[in-house]
Amino acid sequence: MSSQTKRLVTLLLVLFLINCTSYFGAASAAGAIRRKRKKKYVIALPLSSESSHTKPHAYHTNYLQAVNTKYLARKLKKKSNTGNMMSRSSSSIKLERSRAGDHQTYELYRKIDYGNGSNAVGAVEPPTAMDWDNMSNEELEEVFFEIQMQRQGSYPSSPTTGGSDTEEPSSSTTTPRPTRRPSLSPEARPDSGGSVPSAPSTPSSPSAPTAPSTPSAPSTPSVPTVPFNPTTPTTPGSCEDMSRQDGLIMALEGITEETTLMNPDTPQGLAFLWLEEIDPLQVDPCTSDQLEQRYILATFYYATNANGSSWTSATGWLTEADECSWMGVTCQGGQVSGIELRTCLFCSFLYFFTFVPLQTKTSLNSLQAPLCLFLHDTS
Amino acid sequence: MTAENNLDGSLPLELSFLSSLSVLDLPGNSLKGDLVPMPATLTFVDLEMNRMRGAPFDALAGLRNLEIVHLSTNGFTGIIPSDIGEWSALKELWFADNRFQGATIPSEIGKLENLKTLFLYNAQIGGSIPSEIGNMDLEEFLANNNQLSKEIPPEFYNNKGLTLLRLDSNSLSGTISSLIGNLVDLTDVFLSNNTLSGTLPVTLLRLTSLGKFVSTTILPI
Repeated sequence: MSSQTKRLVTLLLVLFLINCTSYFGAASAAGAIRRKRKKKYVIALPLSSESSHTKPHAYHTNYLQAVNTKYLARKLKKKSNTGNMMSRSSSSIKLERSRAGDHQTYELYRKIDYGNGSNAVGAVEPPTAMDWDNMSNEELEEVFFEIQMQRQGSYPSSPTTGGSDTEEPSSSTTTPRPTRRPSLSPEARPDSGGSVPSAPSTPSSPSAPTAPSTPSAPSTPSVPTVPFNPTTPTTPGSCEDMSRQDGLIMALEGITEETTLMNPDTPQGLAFLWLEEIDPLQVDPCTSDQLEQRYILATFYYATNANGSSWTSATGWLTEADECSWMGVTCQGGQVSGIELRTCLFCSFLYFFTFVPLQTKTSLNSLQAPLCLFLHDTS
Repeated sequence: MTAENNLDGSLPLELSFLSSLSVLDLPGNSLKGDLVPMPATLTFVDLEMNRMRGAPFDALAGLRNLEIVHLSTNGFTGIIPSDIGEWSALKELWFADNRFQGATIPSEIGKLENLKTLFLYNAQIGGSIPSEIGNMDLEEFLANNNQLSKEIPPEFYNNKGLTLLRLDSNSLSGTISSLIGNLVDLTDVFLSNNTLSGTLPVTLLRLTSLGKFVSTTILPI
C-alpha cells in the first residue's frame, strides 16, 4: 500500500470517527440537537470585505453603535421635517459621545453619516478635525443636524436662500429647524428665485459648529457645503425625486409599516438601516427588483440572530453578494425559492448505521449529508 | 453544502412576502414564537426540533401546494382543522411531540390520498381514529402516546402499503382485526398499553416482513 493510499485511508477513518462522535453526542435524546453549541465559528458578516472575519458579537456591537448613531440623526431629521421645535435628547447624545472615542465606531460614523459617494446629493467630508469626546451635547447635535441637512440638500451653496435664514438665535434648549427639506422642483430651487423652507437658525451655543446662518459665512469648515446642481432633472413626487430613505420606505411600506421600519429596535428596522446605509450593493429603491427579497432576508437574519451571535455560520449574509448566493438561500429565476438552514450535518450517516427509535424519527434522521452520499447510493 | 446553524428568534411576518418561496427548511435550531403565515407557493416546511408555539395549522391554512410538513418536537398547540383536507398534495405530515391538547384527528384527513407518513405521537391528541383514514395510502403511521380511544376502525386496514404502525400507549379498545393480515408489508407493529382485548388473529402469520410486534393481547393458543 502506497503512502498516498495510507493517507487516504487514514483520512476516511478520521472522518468516520468524527461522524460517530457527533452522533453519540447528539443522539442520546430526541432534543439533544437543540443543546447550545459550544463551538463557534468565525463568520462572515462584513460591513466590508476587510471585516469578513469579524466575530458575530463584535460585528453586532459595532453595528448597533452605528445604528444608534444613525437613529439619533434620523430623529433630528424627523423633527426638522415636521417643523417641530427640536428638543435636546441629552441622554442619547451622551451615549453616542461615550462611544465616539472608539476608532471602529468612528469608522462607522464615517460610513453611515458622511456618505460613501453614492448619495444623490453628494458625500460630505467627515469631521476629521472634530474632537468627538470633548464636544458638548449641543455641538454634537449641531453636527448631526448639519450633516443631515447637507445630505438632503437643504443647504445649497448658492447664496439665494430665503429670508428666514437670518432668524434670531433660539433659546438654549430648542432650535428652530427647516419645516421640510426643499423640494427639487423648479419652483423651489434657490437659484430660480423660488421660496425655500426656512433655513436653520444660528446655533444656540456660541462654541458649537454653526449652521450657515449667512450664505457667505459658513462657520463649520470641517463640514463643507454641498454644491447644488440646479440642472438635475426631477419629477415632483416620483421615486427618483425622493431621498434614498424615502424611496426605500415607499418600496417597502407595503411589507412593513413605516413606523416599524424606522425603529432600529426591531429586526425590520435593523434590516432597513442595513439596506439604506450599510449594504455595499446599495440597491436602487426605484428600479431594483431584488430590493424586497433582500430586505426580507435581512429581516429574517436579524429576527433569528438573537444578540447578534447565535448564527454559527452566515457565509455571504449581509454582504454585497447577491442574496441568492447567501448560505442556505436558493433562488429560481432570481427569486428566492428556498431558505435551508438546518443543523445536524451527519444525521443521515448515523441513521444509516444505527438503530433510531421510531419515536424519535425526525427529518434530521434522514438528512442526506453530502459526505455520506456514497453510502446512500449503494442502497 | 447543508448549512449548520443555530437560529435563535422568531420568524418574521415578512417571510410571507417572498412570493416564490417553496422551501423553508429550518429544523434543529432555536426558533421561538408562532409560525407566521406563509406564501401560497410553499411546498416544503420543516421546523422540527425548535421551540415554536402557537397554532401552526392556522398559519398554513390554504396552502394547497404543501407536500412536506414537518413540525414535530416544538411547543405547538391548537387543533387540527378540517381544512387540512385541502392539502391534497401532502405526502408527509409530521406534527408529533407537541401539545395539541384536546385536538382530534379530523375525518377530512381521509382526503389526503397522497399522504404516506403521518406522525402524531406524543401530541396529546384525543378522540378516535376516523374511519376515513382508510381512504388513504399510508406507509407509516405513528400515533403512540396519545389519548386515542375507541376501536381501530376496520377501514384502517385498507392502507395496504403500511410498514410502520405505532398505536401503543393510547386508550384504544376492541380487538385486533384479522384484517391486519392484509398489511403484508408491515415490519414494525406496536399496540401495547391499550385496552385491547381478545386474541391475536392467526392472519398475522401472513406478515412475512414483520420484525417487531409488541402487544399485550394474548396469543390464540
